[in-house]
Amino acid sequence: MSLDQHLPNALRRAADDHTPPLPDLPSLVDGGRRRKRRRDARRVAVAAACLAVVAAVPFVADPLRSTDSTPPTGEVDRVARVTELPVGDTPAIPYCPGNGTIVGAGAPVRAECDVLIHRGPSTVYLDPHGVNLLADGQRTLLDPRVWSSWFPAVSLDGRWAAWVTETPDHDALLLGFDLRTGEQIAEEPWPTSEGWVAGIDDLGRVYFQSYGKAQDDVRAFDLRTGESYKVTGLPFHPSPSIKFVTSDGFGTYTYDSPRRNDVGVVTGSVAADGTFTQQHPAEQDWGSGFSPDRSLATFERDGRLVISPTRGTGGDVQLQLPRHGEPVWFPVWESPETVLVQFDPVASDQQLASSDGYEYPAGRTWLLRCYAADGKCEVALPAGWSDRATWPIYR
Amino acid sequence: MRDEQGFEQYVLARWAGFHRLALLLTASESAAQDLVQVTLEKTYVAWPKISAMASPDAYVRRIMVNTLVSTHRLARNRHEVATADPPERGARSEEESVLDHALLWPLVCALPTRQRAVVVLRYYEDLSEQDIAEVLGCAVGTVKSTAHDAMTALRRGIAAVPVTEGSDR
Repeated sequence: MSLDQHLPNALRRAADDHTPPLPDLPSLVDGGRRRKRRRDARRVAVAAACLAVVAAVPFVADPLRSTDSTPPTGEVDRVARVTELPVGDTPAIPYCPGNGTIVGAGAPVRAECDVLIHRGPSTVYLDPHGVNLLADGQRTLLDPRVWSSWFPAVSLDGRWAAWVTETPDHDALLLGFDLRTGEQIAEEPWPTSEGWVAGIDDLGRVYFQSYGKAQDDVRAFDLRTGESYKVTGLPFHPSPSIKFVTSDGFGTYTYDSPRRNDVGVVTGSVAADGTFTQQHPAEQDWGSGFSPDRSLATFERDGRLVISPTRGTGGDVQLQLPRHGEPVWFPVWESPETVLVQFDPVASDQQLASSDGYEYPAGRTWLLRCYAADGKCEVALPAGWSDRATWPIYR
Repeated sequence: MRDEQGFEQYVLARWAGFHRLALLLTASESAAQDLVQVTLEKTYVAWPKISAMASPDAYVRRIMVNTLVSTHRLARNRHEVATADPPERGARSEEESVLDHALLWPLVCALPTRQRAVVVLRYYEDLSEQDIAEVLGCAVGTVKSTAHDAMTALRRGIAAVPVTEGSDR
């Protein structure tokens, strides 16, 4: 059974284990009456305030006006508001100009703005009808079978894509595609009840991690050959976990110092026989934030987006995003020198973590371009570029 | 005159179900109690409209989920993030699968509010993505993305559970 099949039972049991208290009807009715009185009073107040609101239109019409009273941080390079940034060129990768098309992949493609996954030269487009490849002014449907709980993984070089889908009888299949040709190269029964897909590397190897098993239970499935093998030689850790996939392997937990139980992350390459060879210490959240040449990676540090070299230490560059607002997703690399950041100018909370589940009002986000060399940013697209989407476009 | 008797009958008939749903949504007994209270107070205010609906349960469910999400958002804006208090993970016996209920529920509790809401609506209330989008007042794509992130978090959580002696398959 897969996780999807276990969840209903787990939730039902959790609910059934709980004995609800008896309802306090008088309290509910009293609370409802108080609420109704407040609502009625508010309606009167709102009606009376209409004239004042009209007079105040010039003041409230600025959606970027912030009530944030946070004192300046002293970082002279950070502008206060997104409107103060210089305006740069439009994106060099496919984007939505806000008119029901996607441009930048040849001729404009008629498509509503939805999810775009851009890696290397490839752009994969997800809409309710399936997974598509955008290239040469065309939208080519790769497969209509997409299961919302498994988004496509695309290799860093943009060559390979793979995702898990569900069959009508609730079995799972791994679908693999060569994005250079658009051809499907794999369709394998996939044991979703036993583990999860961590990602796919530039060699077309899908990494699969077993649930709750001991060390060495990471496997690689080669899309090109259809062979599966165990990854061996992982650094010791009681519950090894793939943090992110690289061009020829992945980053995984290790003990920095086994005697003190300090946990760190190390990247390693996986040889053809499955041997994992440690290479470099890494940040935990590099994720898909590698630059096209893998020399840099974006990640979050102390609530700020940082670009860091993937080898060696030092040389970190903090993105000089406006003080008012927050990035709403991890950046997407536009070139080896620039990243695009989806930025919400009226947010007031930390919205960086990809698993935080917060609300992402993409319709009001701006698309900013930031330079890896000095962290300076400019406007690539003002708000409105993402059509009516309620979710950030680039993932 | 408000049909208070009809409201009370409705509450009595649905109380247990709403309370269980609130428990799953909040992952906390005390928060569930508060959520049901506020939800049914709001239901009272709109009762003349709700009682005439073909499916009042769906509307009340929508009130509940949106109350939860907006309460959570307000708390975040004040930097007072309410955290769920997941129950302790039970020790896994040899017979239990790695995907057992005792393991899954704490992981669901640890999900962010919106992700947990999507999981509960989908797997407990058995709603379609379209229905969930209507309940949450967002696009279907948002539901898909949220579900994806929730499932990824659950899978990561399952994979990260240390192996105990004798529980390996």
